[in-house]
Amino acid sequence: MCNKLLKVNIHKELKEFDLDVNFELKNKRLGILGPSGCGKSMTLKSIAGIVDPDKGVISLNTGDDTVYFNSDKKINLRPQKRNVGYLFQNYALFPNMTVEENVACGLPKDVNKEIVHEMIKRFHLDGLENRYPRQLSGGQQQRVALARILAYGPDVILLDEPFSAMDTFLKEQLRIMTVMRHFSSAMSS
Amino acid sequence: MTTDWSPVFISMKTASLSIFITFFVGLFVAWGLVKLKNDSIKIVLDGIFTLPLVLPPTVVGFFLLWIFGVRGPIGKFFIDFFTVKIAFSWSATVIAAVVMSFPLMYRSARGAFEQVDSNLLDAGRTLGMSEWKIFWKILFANALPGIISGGILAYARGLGEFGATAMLAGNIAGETRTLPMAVYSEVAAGNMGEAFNYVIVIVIIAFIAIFIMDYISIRKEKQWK
Repeated sequence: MCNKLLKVNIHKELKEFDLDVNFELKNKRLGILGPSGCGKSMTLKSIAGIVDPDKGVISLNTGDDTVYFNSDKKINLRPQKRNVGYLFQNYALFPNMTVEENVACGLPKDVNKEIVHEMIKRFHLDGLENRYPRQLSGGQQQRVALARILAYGPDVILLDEPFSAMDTFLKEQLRIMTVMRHFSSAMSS
Repeated sequence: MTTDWSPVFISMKTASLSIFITFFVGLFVAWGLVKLKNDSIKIVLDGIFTLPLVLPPTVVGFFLLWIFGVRGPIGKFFIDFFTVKIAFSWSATVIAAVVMSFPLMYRSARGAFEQVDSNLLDAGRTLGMSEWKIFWKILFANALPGIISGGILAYARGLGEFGATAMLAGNIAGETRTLPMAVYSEVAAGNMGEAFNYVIVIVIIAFIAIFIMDYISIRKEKQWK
C-alpha cells in the first residue's frame, strides 16, 4: 500500500475576494462543492501549476516528499514536473489530433504505446481512434480526456466540474465513475 | 527589343528568401509577445513591429538607409569588417521586403495564436509536453489557417515591395531591379508593351501563391471537421 498525502495550504488574492484553501488528503477522493466563482477551479489550477498562488505550500507525499509549490522557499514546480492529471471543464482536447493522438500525446517517444490502446479499450473508445474531437459527442469527448490523463499515469487526478454535463450523459458518467474507481483501487494497491 | 527577364528571377529570389525569413521571425516574435505578461512593454513592442505597415514605404526606406547605408551603424560595420556593401545591393531588396512584410506576418500570427484556447496549452503542460512541443503541436497546428493567411499577405507584400526597395536598393538593372521596379522603369521610358509583360508575370505569380496557400489551409481545416 503506497501512501499518498496531498497537502494544500494556499492564499491568493483575486479580484473580488481572497482565496484561502487549507486541506490535507490521504489516499482519498475529495469533492469540492460551491457556487460558481467561489474558487474551485482556481484551487485545482493551483495544484496543477497552471495558476500561481500568492503564497503558501502545495506538496504531495508519495513516499518521498515532492514540493509543488512553496512561496517561502521560492519553489514553484512547472506543471510538466508535477505529474498531475487535470480534466478541464471543456475537456481541452486537441482539435488537430485524432483520439489516438490525443491519448498518446503526453507519453515520451520511447515509451511503449500499449497503454494507449489499453486506455482506448477501457474507456470504450474502440473504433473511434481516428476520429477528431469535433466528430465526437460530449460524453465521448470526456472519456477521451480521461483516457488521455490516465495514459499519462498521474499521481493525482483533478476533475474540474466532471458532472457539468450530467443530465445529458448520465449513463456515460456512471460508466466513467466505475472505471475511475477501478483506477483508484489499482493505484493504491 | 526583347524583354529582359532578369527582374522575374530577382523578384522570385527576393520574395522567396524574404518570406522564409519573415515567416519564422514573425512567428517567433508573435509567440514571444503572446507569452509576454507586461502589458506596457507589449504595447510599445507592438507599436514598433507594426510601424512599417502604417508608415509610407519611402519613410521606412529612409530609416533603413539610415541604418544600412554606407555611413549607417550596421552598413558601416559590414563594410569595415566584411567589406560588404549592403545598400544598393541585392541583399538590400531582401531587407526592404522583410521589413515591409514583417508586420503582416507578425500581426496575423499573433491574432491566430490568441484565438487558440489557452486551456489547450495548459492541458499540454499538465500532460508533460515540453514548451517547444506545445508550440508546434498545439499552438502552431491550431493557429495554422491564420498563420497561412498571414504568410500569403506577407509574401504578396514582399513581392510587390516598391517604395522602401527604391530607397535602400535602388533600381539597378540586373541587380536590384525587381518586377515592380521594372514595371515602373518601362512605363517611365514609355515602353507600355514591356511593362505589360512584367505585369502579366506578377499577376500570375501572385495568383498561384494565393491558390497554393488557400488550398493548404482549406484542406487542413476540413480534415478536423
